[in-house]
Amino acid sequence: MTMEFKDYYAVLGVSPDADDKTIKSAYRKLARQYHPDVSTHADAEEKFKEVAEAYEVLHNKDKRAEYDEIRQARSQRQRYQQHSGRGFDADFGAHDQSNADFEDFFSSIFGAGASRGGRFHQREESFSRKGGDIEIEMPVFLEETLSDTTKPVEFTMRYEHQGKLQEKTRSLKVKIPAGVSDGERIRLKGQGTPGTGNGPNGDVYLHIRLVPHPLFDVEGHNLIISVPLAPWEAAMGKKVRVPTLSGHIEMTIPPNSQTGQRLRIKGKGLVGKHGQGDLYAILKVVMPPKSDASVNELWSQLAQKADFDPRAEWSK
Amino acid sequence: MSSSPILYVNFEELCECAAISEQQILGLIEQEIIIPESGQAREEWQFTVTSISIANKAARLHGELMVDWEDVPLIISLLDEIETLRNENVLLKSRLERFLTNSHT
Repeated sequence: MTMEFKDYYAVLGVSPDADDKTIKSAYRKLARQYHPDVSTHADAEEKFKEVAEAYEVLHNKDKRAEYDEIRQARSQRQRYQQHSGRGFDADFGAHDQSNADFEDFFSSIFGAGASRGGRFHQREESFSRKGGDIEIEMPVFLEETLSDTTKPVEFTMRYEHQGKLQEKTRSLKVKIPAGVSDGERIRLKGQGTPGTGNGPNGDVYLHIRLVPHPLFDVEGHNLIISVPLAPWEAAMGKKVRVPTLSGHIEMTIPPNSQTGQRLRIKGKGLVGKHGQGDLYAILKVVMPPKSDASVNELWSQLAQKADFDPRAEWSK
Repeated sequence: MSSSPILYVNFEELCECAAISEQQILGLIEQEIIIPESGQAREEWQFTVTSISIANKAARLHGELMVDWEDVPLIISLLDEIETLRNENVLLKSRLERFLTNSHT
């Protein structure tokens, strides 16, 4: 099998004779840069896994010695191949830096069971370990949060069973309760990867993400909608049909309304723990794209009759 | 296959699910990084499932980012503030865009 060799020293950006302090310092710097909890890099998680794996090997005296041996053997073989004119990559592939390869390489040296994670607790006779937890991003539409909704969830689990890597796809139907909010988490007990020995299964955590709506913005449990008005509608007032998450409603725009003015429509927001939020309509006066001669004539009459200087503040 | 969702856990379950010790969780509660959703006495405490994620984030900051345990609450509250500001920024940008875009264009 072709297995790519991982240069852990290069991953951490240190020389092969670096001391523990240098290795630790390089790891901390890269962890700060790529750890998914603090990083906004698109591929932070993958990058951090590489860095963490390199550190796990290099900061452990025994693992580092074992790794150095393989590294040295490889470089001797390369020198031999150069002299004898054979290709480089008889055993190790070249530059495909995928994470799966990293894990394969790590497992090939230290065994599949050597991977991180999981909590161990010794039972009376057998060795037991809780299965891994899985976190899944769950997009939910605003409309779906108004009442309990059942949504399908499908995910693939990868775990080790009796020394072999297993892959299993699980399909669930989950009841998403009314009133879930963005960022909230839901636990599905025992739906994660199987435990070993007498250990329980891991759990699944659904991380609720409200899908941005084309019309409404969310502010806490309130919703905001922008209501465009023609200048004469703002001037004279108007009954307008305003969309809400559950159908349209009639709203009265009072005469002499302004851009930026907020009108509250009670109880048409999102469902909250303490009652339903409100919908705020923010008015926005919009000019028609173009006017013909007769309309322009009317604007001109208005300009003469209306005593209004919108820039009066400037001349003070 | 359907699965019943869990939205709240008690203190015992929180300790079971989190990758830190009971004492460390109590420390985070004392620092108000994890706040019980309801209940006065420890046996009555109910936490949102997000509390498990916060406890696990604390474990990662300490274990993987090598943050001193005493500094974990500060880092978590700063990260939380960054997230709040980012979300607010996204909302304000979206509102500004709706304001600047004409409905008929």
